[in-house]
Amino acid sequence: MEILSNLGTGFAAVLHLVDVAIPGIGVVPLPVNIFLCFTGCLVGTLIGVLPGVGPIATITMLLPITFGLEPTGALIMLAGIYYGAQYGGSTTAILVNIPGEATSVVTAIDGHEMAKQGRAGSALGIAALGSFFAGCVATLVIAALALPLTRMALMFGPAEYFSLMVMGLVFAVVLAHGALSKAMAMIFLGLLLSTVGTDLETGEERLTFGFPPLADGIDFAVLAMGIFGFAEVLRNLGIDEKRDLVSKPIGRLLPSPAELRQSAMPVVRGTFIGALLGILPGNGAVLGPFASYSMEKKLARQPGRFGRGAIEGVAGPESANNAGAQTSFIPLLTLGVPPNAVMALMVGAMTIQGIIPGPQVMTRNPDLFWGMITSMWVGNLMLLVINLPLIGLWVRLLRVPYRLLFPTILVFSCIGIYSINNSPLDVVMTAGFALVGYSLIKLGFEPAPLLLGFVLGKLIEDNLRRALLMTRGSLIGVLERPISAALLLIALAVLVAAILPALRKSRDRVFAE
Amino acid sequence: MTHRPPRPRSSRAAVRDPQNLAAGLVLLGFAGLAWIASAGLEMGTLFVMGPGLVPRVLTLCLAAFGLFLCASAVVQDGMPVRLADFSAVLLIAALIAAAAAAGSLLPGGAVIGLPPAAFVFCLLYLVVMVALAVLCVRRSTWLDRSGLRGPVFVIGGVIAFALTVRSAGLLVSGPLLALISGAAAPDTRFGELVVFAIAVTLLSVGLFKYVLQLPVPALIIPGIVYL
Repeated sequence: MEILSNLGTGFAAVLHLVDVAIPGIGVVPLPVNIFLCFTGCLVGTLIGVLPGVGPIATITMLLPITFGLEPTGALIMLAGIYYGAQYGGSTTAILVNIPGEATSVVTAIDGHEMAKQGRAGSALGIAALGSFFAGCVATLVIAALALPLTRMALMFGPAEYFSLMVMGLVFAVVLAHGALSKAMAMIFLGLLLSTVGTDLETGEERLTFGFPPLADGIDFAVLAMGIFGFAEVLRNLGIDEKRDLVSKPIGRLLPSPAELRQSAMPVVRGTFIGALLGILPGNGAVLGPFASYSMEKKLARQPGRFGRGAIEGVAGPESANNAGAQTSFIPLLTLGVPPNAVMALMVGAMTIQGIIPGPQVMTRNPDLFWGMITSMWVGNLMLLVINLPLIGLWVRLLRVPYRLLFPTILVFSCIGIYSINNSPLDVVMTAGFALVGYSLIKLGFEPAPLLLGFVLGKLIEDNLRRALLMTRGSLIGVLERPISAALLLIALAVLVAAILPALRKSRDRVFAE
Repeated sequence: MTHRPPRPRSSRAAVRDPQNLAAGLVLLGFAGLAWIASAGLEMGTLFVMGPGLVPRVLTLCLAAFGLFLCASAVVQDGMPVRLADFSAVLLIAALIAAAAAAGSLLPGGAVIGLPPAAFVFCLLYLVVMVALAVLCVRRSTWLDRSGLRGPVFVIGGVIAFALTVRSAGLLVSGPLLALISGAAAPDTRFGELVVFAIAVTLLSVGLFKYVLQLPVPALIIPGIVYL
């Protein structure tokens, strides 16, 4: 019952009427937050549809538009932008076979195949319906888990936080594509970059080379935009563009009853897997779609249909994707630990609004906390309402050639980066990180772990310092605390398992599919 | 979005995985830089950690992975390295080094609001872009193979934006960015790009400046206009 009353608080916050003075009409009470959620979903989808622009780049680009809003509205809008960007990415994956980020890679396999058969409408429709179902369940999961997890978080000391984040980083390494050694190297590079700037305890400048703008450290948005936004533009320019936009008609948007029946169970299973993996620290959400896809393939009566336009191959992974996207808010909202780069951007946005993420948010700003959770559900409903009728618009947008799209992406990104601190130097630094990120990609490194290492670096160092202060400098003391020891043991076990050759092969197979 | 299939190299060559070797060397380079930068920092003890302890430990870990990758390059087969993928980064790094050297020779004091080294860098970059633009107009096939075109124009456009956004406003920096970076695409068309650059700029000025009211100047002509 507590859940219901909490969700009630949330709905009250989302539906909260604000008196708005409209010239010519007078003061009208309007549900402003609903409107913000709608706008967020719309622009998020608009940018997310652009090929090669994933949620990270989209959120960085659109972050400045939330600056002028009050905190609850700003976060509701950002959550809307996030879901919009996710869904936009799936649309691009289905229609043009260009996945905007790792999680929609799987959707592209069967989704694009369906589009080629003239069933793009069904694929898009089931993606939206599956995501909506996943969103409903995930909202309930978050609401149910928020209270107990927050209570648990209050028992966490610095040692536990340190161990939790180490576990998150280990998960991120194991879940990254490509060689483990390279993913680990990226984590360490990210951690190292996070130490740039003024040391909080001694006030000494570290690794700044005496360059004053670095004294405040590297801005996360600058790093993320450089490595995920600009570097992606550079990479796409190097590829001979063969955009595989389907010429076939989109077809009916509502899946047929037979298709719905086929997708029902995959949606439920995908939601379950995605929600579970999304809670893990260390970007577990990425694994959801992959796991769901291979599961559906194993369970199918004719596995041969997969890769040739099986609707289960869209329904399952898309639900898993959305469920994971949503439950990955849990570590952030309850523990204050961002599990992936998108959540790190949320931390940035919350800090700008004067809110420090962590267990105290729920008690101090219940409106904001529950409002954000409820807005996730509202956001999913919006997506259903916006996307299906607007599909024609997205298709037209995808017809714009890349030679015109990327200057647009760059203009919006540069304005976005500039407005965060009103600093032209930030824009130049973004360009620098773009070159670094581009080179790293070309050297076979995956940039996602770097970003997570950067995000968690400061928190890890801070908590380690405090933990060691409490144990008088003994590393064993960190291990003596039971929760902390358990978390580190899990991390070790996962790491060892990933290095063992047998499991390594099966991990490669999951990603190869 | 096509992935190049890995081409196994002959296993008799001394370096069997050039990509890993390059990756390892780059990591060692980063580690070296961080080692120099953290040289003066106090390490402290585990009880009372100094500011230098964590960076130093991380640097050593990074170096260890660098060595591991270098070593693995001799043992297992891997991907080749194409110079064209790195030509632009190397060129820009060379320009930065040249500018830094020239900047230390020049007398101090800002040149049109920039530190001397930054001014020299912009000048050199401009020369490179003009040279590449001439090659573009002549439809040089060398340019397409060199891998310079994309990164040089994109980064150039971004730098131009950063230089002008505060002093001249969005109405100047927006089209500048769109036009310069637009030259990065191999199939660019000038007329179309001009129209598009203006449209995108007007749209973004309307959105960011007037709808969202961000403090971005739209147009500054010193002494005459400030929007």
